[in-house]
Amino acid sequence: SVCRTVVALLLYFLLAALVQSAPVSSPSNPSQAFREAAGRAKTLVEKILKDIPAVHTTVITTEGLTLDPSSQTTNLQMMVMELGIPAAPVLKPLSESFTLDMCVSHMLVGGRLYQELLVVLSNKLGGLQDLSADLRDLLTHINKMKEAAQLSGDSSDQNSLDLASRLHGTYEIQVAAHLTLTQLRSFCHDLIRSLRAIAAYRPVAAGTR
Amino acid sequence: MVRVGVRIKWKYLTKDGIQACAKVHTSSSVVPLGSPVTATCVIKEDCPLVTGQAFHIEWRLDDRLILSSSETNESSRVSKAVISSFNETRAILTCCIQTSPPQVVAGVEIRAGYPPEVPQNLSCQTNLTTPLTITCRWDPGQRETHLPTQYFIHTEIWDANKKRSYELPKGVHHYTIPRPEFVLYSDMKIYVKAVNELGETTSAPLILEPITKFDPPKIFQVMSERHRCLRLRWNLSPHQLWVGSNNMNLEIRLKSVFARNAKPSRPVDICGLLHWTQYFAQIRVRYQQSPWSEWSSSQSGVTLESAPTGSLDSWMKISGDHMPKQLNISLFWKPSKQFRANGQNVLYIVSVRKLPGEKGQVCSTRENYCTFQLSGRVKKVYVRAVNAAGISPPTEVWIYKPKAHPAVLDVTAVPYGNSSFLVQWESMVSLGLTDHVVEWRPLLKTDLSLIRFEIAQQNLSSIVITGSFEPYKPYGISVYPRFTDGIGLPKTVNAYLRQKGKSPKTQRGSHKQLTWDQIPLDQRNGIIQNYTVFYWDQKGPINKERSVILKDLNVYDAFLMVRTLGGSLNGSIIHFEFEPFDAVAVVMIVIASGLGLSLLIIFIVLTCFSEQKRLKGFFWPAVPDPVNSSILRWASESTQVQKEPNPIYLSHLSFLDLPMKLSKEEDDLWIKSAEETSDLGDDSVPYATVMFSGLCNSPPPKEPHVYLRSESTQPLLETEEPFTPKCYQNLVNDGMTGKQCFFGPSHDCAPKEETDPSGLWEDFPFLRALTMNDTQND
Repeated sequence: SVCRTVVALLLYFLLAALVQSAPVSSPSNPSQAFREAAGRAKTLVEKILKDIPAVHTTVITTEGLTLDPSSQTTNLQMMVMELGIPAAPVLKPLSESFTLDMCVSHMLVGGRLYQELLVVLSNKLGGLQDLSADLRDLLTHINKMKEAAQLSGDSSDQNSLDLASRLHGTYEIQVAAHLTLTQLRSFCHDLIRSLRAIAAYRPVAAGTR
Repeated sequence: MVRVGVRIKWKYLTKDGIQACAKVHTSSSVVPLGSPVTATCVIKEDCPLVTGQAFHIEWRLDDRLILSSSETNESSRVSKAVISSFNETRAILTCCIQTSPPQVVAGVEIRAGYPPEVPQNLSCQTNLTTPLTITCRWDPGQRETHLPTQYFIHTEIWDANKKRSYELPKGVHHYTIPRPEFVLYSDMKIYVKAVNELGETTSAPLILEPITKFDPPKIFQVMSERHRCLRLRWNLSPHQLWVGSNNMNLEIRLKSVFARNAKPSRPVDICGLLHWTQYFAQIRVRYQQSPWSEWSSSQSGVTLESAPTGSLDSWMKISGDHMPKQLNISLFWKPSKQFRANGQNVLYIVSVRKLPGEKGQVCSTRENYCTFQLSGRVKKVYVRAVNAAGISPPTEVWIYKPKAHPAVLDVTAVPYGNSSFLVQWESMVSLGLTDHVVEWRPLLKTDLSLIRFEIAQQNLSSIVITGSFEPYKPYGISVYPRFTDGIGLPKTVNAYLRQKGKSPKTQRGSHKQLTWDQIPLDQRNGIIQNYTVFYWDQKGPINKERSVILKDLNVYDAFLMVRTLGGSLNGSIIHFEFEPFDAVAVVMIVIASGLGLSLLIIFIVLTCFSEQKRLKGFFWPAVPDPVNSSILRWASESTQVQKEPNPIYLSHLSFLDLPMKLSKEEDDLWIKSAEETSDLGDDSVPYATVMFSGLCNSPPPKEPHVYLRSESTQPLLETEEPFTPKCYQNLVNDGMTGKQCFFGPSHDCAPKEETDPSGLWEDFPFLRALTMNDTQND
């Protein structure tokens, strides 16, 4: 009976190994699905980038808050800390140390961050719904990329923002919205760079794990 | 037991409370329209209406009594009603007990209708202008369900793991999905469900990716940077620029349709075009398989110039004297089917050398013809086309001497369509015949630049020539046969594209002749077939003749009609009045009559004074005047008596008063004055008196002539033989008959022969003397 157990266990693990190593055939051409998702993601990022200035103009009515990067950032550092708006993860160029997995994970983390910010702000301000929906769709496609390439993304522990409690008055809301839009814009620039790099990157690792 | 509510329902009070007396059961209170309905009415045992007595259950539908099958017995108290076809949308079915009055014990409302039809034609469209939405519509179907029907629209997005359904208000058959409810670029499944009490139906699902029809894109520029290629700079409509550069399909329409995958903001190259050609480009886009957008507005561009290619069709004619040393050549050319100018301002160069260069150039022109002189030794020339981009390969033209070889027998040219002629010819089968050249030119203008030609292959005997033919103008169409060693004699025919009549100018000629001028060639508008004159007088019918001599002396109106193949045209109406005698005729008559009269006078004068007695005698016969003629003069002069009594003289005559009057005419010639004769004295006895009453041709007098003798001793012969010549006539003694009667012809002047003339002379010697006198006169 011990022998049988051993054989069973061996078979089980073998099977598991076999199952694991067998290439998953869910997309018949995983790289194509990955590329499609990446392409759509890029399109959405371009849309968001195109829409941010218009949304900013509509939503931010406070004088002195403009998208022009020259003046603002240093003045509002304190506000950033007060409001607790975290910085987005940095998207480094793809390399040995910064793999595709990490890249996609970072994209998701950053995207989710801004999506959450926009959701909170949408409750206080109007004019952010479409942008929020675009960002949500972008995340959908980045997720598809992840699925297509079977990337192991660790759903990183995201500290739930407590932004809502810190939005005491109109000024805080306006600053929060301004900061969100500004940071979102630079994040999108990074996204485009990374997506272009990904488009050229042939995901050799996909499917051979 | 409590009796409650006669009309409504019987209820009774038991220890459990008020209870209904009966109950109606149906399988369903909502049924399809037209289907059978079965209802059962069960009456409770302890219903007071039925305890202890026989009862009868009846059914009513609204107010009508309906058949039922009652199975009433003491124990069951069940009645069943069956409606075979329930045709109303709603009705109340009541179960009643037949008492007096009948009491309703239970009832049920039955509704009928239809299950909902499957929603049809579900279509969704993304509204690409902000805010992004998707609007879906469907068709609920024509049939009224008669039942409250709800519509739900369901969406499923797999990527987002979202399923939603939205209920729609009554009568609304469209829904706008808001932006948060769909994911861009992710497929979603949309379908519509219709639900009512009789059933639910689902439409066919629609799977779409929420980017559909775009606005038409815009072409910014069309230019040419490479040969035979055009470059289009274009982009999407500004609203949709965000859509991104992947997966856009662009369709370009020039003269043919290309389909390209293209990225916005990137220029598109289209190649395989012709040189130096203007193209109009339009584009439309779609995202993957979405519907195509509308076509953009048109933009034009021109491809680059290139050297001309292809050969030219040529037609060489030698004109003038065919001197061997120098030939006068007219060369015509036109692009062949393969010829491409590939540029503008094409210059044609004719040269005797095959290689291009200044030397040997005979002609350099932008026209399509050239005349030049060549020495007889030159066998061929070369024609090239030149434009700014280059020079074409040469076209060889052989110099053929004309051959006096007629090969074309007959040519006809018939108008064919709006600006063409069908030219047909017959040609003799000849050795060496290569092809025919049909040349045409307008006859009214003789410029060389207007000559056109067409080459017909060897075995053809008819072609259609098209050109800028003007109607009503004459064209000369010639067919030349071409041989391997020369050009034969042509056959030419004149032709008109369309003919019409031309008003002729009429003239009034001389009195009865109508003439008109011949219409000049440039006004003829056709080949004249005939002229017709229409004429009519005041009241007479209209006549028409080809040529007319107007005879009757009447007033006429007339006009001239000219007919060609294309029609006829009438001239103006002219008015004739015929004088009986025209001026000319009058003059002629006067002259003629004057001449005649003068001739007559001359003749008379001549004859009168002529010596020719014969001639004179012919016209004026010498009739002796009886008054002045005498055989013997009995004048008082004795001299005359002593003369030998000439028996030829007639005795004195005297005229007595006559009982009848003599006409004046007679007196003219023969009556001498009676007074002359009466001087003989009263004692003379007239010997003879000749009396006559008239000329021979006057009717004879009724009274007989009286002859009285003059002074004579001879006894009067009372009973004379009444020899009464009607006329005073010479009695001949020699039997000569036929002597004329001096008094003119008379029916009685035929001499009588019944009496013997010689006997008479014996009795009348004087008469005999007369006879002799007469003979002497001859």
